[in-house]
Amino acid sequence: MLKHLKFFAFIILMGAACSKEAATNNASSGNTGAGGSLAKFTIAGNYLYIVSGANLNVFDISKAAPVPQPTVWLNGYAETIFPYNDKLFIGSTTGMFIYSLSNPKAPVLLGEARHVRSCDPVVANDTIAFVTLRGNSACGPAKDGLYIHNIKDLLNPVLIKTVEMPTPHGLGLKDSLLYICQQANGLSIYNVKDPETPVLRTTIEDDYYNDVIVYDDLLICYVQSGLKLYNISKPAHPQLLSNVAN
Amino acid sequence: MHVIVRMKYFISVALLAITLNSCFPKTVSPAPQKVWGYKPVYTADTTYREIEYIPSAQPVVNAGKIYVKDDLIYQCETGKGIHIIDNTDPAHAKRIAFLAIRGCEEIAMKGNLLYTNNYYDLVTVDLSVPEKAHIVARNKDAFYASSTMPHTWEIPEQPGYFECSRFYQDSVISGWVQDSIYVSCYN
Repeated sequence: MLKHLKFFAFIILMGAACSKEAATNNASSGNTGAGGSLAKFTIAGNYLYIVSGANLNVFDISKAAPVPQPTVWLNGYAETIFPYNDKLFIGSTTGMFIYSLSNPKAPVLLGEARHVRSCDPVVANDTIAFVTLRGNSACGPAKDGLYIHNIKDLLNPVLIKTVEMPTPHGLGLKDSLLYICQQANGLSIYNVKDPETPVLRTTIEDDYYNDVIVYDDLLICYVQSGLKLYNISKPAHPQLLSNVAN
Repeated sequence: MHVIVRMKYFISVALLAITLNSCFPKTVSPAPQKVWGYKPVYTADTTYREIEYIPSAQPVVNAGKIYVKDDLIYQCETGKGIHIIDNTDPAHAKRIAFLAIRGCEEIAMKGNLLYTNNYYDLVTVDLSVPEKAHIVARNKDAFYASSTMPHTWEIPEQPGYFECSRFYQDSVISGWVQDSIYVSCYN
């Protein structure tokens, strides 16, 4: 339903942002699981982080009842949150923010990559952050595409490559393969071993792809009709295992 | 509350217009525009806080976000609950149960605790014994935010103009009716 949503408030136009569902590959660790790149909340260690508008709400979940911590104010309206190591990557309508979790109850902004207004899930590894931007009327004027940032210097992410593509949505990373959901345009697989020259390996156009989770050798896809599971032991050649639809 | 923010903004624009009016007699104050559109119907309801574990597959209507932990995959049925999918054998993954939680859009887990949103509230659900799934904690309004993309329940299904929803304690939006409304949102 949200995919077609064109929302704007007539009075506060800038208040409009775009909701994302994140399906990404925050590796399953400890006794937490893994969510997608469109998620609005995530668990890192004993803390739960929720992005809600311009707020980053923090909860201590070391006990069964979450204990709220002071809210962190973001410099924009956040839509997605992706944990990697001791960092949080937050996709907002105006940029990607990187927060340090060295003090997990009070995340601190390290760096940000500003972009024109759009919707943007993020995945990252140690040196590179991959962001998809969608510039439809609900999200903003950005050109649809994959935006690749060098984050070796966390304080100063540098945009090193832009790949234009229609309707990019959730994304997931397995080693040097990047899976990008493109809604009605299918699921594209890029080799990003050299992040400055991503190479399109294949596109699967059999469904409406919203988001993915890379779960070891399993690619879990959130599609319009439900779920699709692929074996990705050969990462560039996904084999459909099951289709959990109606 | 974004509606209130907008009202404040409108009031300040109106005041500005009135102020300017003394300098420029021709200035027309911006009257709110009335159109035919949808407005939310609010119903006093606290039963939205109840959850239910249904030990059988339920149909997928509005597939939502996904989460995976161990041998189970969870997928939101946006606004209604969470499908539980047995992934022991990914070649034969299948929905086995449904956790009915109204307003649900998000999922995360730690141990046997599942975190999700019950409309604006963060709820912690103990799934140690799935058949006895129950809420162990509720953090009110953890998902409430002003001026952001509306939640799914804040938007009528039909496209067009609608009245931005307000947030009332112990009530839910039970439906939408067409009426002459002041424009505040568009879908």
